[in-house]
Amino acid sequence: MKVKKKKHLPLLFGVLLAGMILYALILGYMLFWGVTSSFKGRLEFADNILGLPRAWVFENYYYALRNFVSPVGMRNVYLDEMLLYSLLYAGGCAFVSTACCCMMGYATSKFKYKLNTVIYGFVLIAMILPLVGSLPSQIVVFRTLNLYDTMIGMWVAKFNFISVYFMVFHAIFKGLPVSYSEAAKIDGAGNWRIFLSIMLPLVKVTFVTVFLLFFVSYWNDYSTPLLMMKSYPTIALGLYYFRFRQTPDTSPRPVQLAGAIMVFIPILLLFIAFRKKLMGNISLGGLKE
Amino acid sequence: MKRCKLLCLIFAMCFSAISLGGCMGDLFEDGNKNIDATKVQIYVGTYDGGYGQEYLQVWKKEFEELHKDDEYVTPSGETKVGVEVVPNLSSDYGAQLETMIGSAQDDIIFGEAFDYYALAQSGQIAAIDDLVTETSPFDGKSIESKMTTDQINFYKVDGHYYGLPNYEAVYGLYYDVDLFELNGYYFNKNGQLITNAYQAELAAGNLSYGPDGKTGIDPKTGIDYSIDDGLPVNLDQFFTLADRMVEDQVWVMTYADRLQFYYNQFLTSLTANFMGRSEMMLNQDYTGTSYTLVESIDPDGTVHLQEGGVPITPATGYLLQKQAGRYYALEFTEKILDSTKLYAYMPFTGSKNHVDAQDAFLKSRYPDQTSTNTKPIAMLLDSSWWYNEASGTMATMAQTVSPQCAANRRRIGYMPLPNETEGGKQNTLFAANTPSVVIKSSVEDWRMPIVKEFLQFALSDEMLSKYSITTNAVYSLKYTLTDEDEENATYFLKSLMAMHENSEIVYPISTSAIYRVGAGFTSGSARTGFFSLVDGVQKTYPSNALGQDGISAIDYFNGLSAYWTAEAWERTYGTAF
Amino acid sequence: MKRIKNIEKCDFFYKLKRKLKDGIYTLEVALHNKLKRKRKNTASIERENKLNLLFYISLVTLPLLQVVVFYFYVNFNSFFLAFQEYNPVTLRYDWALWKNFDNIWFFVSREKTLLYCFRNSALSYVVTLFISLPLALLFSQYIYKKGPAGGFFKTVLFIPSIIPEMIMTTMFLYFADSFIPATVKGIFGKEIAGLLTQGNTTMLITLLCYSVFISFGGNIIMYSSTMSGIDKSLVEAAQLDGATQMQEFWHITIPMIYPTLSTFITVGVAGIFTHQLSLFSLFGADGNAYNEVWTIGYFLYSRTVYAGSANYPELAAYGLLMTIIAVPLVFTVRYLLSKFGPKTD
Repeated sequence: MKVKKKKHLPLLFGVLLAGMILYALILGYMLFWGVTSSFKGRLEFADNILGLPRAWVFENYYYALRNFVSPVGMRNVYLDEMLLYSLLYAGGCAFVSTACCCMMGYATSKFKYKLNTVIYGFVLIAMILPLVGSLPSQIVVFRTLNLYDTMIGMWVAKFNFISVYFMVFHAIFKGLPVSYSEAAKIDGAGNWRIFLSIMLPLVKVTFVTVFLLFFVSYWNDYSTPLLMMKSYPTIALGLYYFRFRQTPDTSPRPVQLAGAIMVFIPILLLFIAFRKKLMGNISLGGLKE
Repeated sequence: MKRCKLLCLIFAMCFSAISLGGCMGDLFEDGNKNIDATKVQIYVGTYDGGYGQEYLQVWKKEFEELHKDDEYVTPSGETKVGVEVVPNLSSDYGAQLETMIGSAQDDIIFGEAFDYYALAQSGQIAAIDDLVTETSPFDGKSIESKMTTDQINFYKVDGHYYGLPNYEAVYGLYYDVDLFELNGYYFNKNGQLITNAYQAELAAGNLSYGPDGKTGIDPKTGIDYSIDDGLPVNLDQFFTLADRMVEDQVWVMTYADRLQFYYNQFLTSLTANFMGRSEMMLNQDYTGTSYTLVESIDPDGTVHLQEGGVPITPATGYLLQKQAGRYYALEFTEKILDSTKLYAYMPFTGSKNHVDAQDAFLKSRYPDQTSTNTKPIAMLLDSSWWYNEASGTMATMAQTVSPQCAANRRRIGYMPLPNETEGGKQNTLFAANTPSVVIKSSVEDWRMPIVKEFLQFALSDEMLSKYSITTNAVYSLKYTLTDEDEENATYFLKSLMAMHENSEIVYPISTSAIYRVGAGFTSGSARTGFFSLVDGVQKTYPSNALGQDGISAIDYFNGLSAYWTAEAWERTYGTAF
Repeated sequence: MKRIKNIEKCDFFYKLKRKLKDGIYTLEVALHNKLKRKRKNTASIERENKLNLLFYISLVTLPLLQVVVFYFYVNFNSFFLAFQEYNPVTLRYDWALWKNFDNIWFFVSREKTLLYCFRNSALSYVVTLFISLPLALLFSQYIYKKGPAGGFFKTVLFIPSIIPEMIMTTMFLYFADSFIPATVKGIFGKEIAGLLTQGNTTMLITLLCYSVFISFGGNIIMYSSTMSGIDKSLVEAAQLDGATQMQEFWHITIPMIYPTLSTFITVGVAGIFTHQLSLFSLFGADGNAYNEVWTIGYFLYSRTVYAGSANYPELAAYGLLMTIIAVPLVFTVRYLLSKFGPKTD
């Protein structure tokens, strides 16, 4: 029996709706103000903070683009090269992280070894155990292994399964019926074949979602490249330098805003294009006991 | 799916476009990478901020012209005709120079904030004794003769020169001379503020002698001491002037409140001017005697000094936190940032960075209907490179507001800082940062002579004069502007040159071991920092603490010694003594 | 016998411990068995088992190796680093036992900076727990229940997580420092300081509000997905019984997603020590003018960024001390959550 649809919104929803509208308004207005102010002339900004620009200055974006550099040794790295490094870093690390979680998730769910419980328990503990201040030690270890300041070093560092997504994959693989792999075995397929050709396609959606989530977080991560990979600056690191290494051309606030907007617009467009995949359904089904 | 494929395609295209590589770099760096293979290259690196790099272009043009027909033979037997100076304008490598110089392409580096001594000892920079001590064919003098004794001692490591001084930046108050003359903001010999009667008093020669107590041109040295005539002699006069400015609806000063360390640097300049050279140098060498240590301060601000001189050693360096000059600088801060007095223009609202402060200062005298600020600002607190940084604004204003706003028409000068109580002390300038120019030791033997010659050329009198004209700043050597340049110089440059000549200049350099432990420009060292412990909270910026947190100058001053106790001193610098 | 009793306790923590003990015990048995001569199985099953084992090993070796090096070794090294000091002559680390802790004690006994850090970090966690979390849950409920324009709001709430932190903070910084004072001046005629210019309470409140503002993002996705996995029949039963939205939220939704929720809360405790309140993105490493709003995370990170080899031991010592404080805290929170949490029945 279908429950009748309520004709009016419950009070709770009304309040929440108001809250979310307020949030959207604040966010939207902040972005709108940021965009319009980025077109203001340097001298105009101090006098005309609130309004629309009286004279639209497009040179701000030119200055932002021209000075969006990261210093690597004695040379400057520009936006195009930074884009390449961002793609390598975000894409590579995301792939490596997702693959690791996926591999471990599969291994621990499909095979009956006692080590699995150890691994699962270990991940749980490691995730909640607060080990603070291991960054300096990490840097020291990287230096010893000659992985410091290399892209490969970053990939190795992110080849890690201590994350919530391991549990996600574990839960998903566990939920897959055994009949698929058994049928394949009867047909003579080896384990690797089963994993790559049958299991992976079955979890494709989750794989892509997790990959995208990792990708976004690595794309926006400037703190790791700042500490460990200064020679291959990503766009996020470029933004950091743009803010904190100002030249006379980029010091005016409108130019700073222009630089920020210039990087933001493509990301926003990509997000809108991929939003369904990004905000897909992920749940820690396996944790329900 | 179609949309997904399209996006992937776009991505792939972008990817391949970028992997064709670094086109932006070439686009924006004006094809610096295209070098002329028929000529010998000299790679010169500098930081394209602050003083910019136009001066390099000027030097480049002159030097290339000089050698355009000369022949050079490479070790492989190839003959090259002419020289090409290739400026490299990239990084603000600063203190990273020590690690990066190995991979640097530059032969000559105009750097700043690096540990010169460590670099010299590492063998990565070349010994340049010949270029420094020999008489230069370009101006008939040796570069050594243009250096002060402090500089010679500093740049000589184990008896050899490995580097030379770079720019001279002075943090100070830069005042609008036109405004001062318009409103008559000068004092006469009786210590009275003139205001309306300015023209008459000026004609009658009644202006006071200024903080240095001298006037006119010294017949023996030719140094002009009249640049500070009429300006406040001590802090009392300064605040009398400030009060008058407030009455006249004029802001006394403005500064970049978002960059608090700018104010700290200014405070160091102020402190240096109060203390004089010998006391200030104690903060670098930590050997000598201090005669200005404070015993106690009365609540009304009267300072009682300790009797006799107190010997200072590296182990007792923390005692210098009691130097009276620091207190007077803090007292100045407390007064000028007093929010009830409205001296400083919007010190904490709106959070200006240095560019905003410059713009506000320059625009304040030419407000239009849309300006939020219609009161003129009399002084800007900044470093001497600000005039070059603001050249864009001045050019824009010259076109949109009035031709009088152009950089070469406005009269803005360095304001000789007042003394704390008395007058008649020679002006003291504190040069900020520790910038030096070095030559990489791995330059090939066949190119080294021409590389050295370029540096020698650049530091000749005529070229230094051109440097000053281009950057509106002063280089850290003794030289004067050529007659031709003197005519075209801006008022700003002339005032800087005059100060350069008539002041005692304290460079933040030393050969002491303790200096080397905290060497280079840091805003946190005991020399240039104002670390204070007030109520258990560490304060780094007096402008913040006194202006906003309401801490008194006396408490902050006492906090300096509370922070730098003997134990704290030993923990931080103990390795040096 | 003891084990059967324990099974009845639905306490997650005990289950975990038991599982671990079980796992280790059976691992030992398995190893022991392997070392002994095996009974002969039929050839094909044995071969299949071997292949499975090989495959398993090939899958797990590399990740486990990575964990051993970059988790175990790094953390052990961090532990030892705290007791060492850097020798600039040999470029190595020598043992210095208590020197780092001595320096830390000197710092802590003189200055209140760390006190402020702890206070601000704790405050940030409290705000997260009692403001961000309930709001996120309520918004997730809204979206899960497909309230009007739920999808649109889901996207809007997610946007701040997509935008690089630097961009968001640049805009926020100028917004708080220029726009808000100008607006206040325009409307009320009063001149106020920019919200992020003084290291005082206003700034702390502004930063906390900002951290709530950008926190929704991923949390909402996770919660609303988990909520959508709730058994529909329960919901329908509740609605038939006349439950309001609020009651349904409190009595059904929360208990059903409680395991996920408690995991996040527990993981959040570790976050106290790393959360920076966006200070580094706002001010870089020169946040010296704002000592009173520092957090532990910012304190440690800003020191690490400009640290050289000589400073790492002291930072590792800080880390060790923080860990010693944090670990009992986590387990306390975990215990409290399991004790006072709703049971699924």
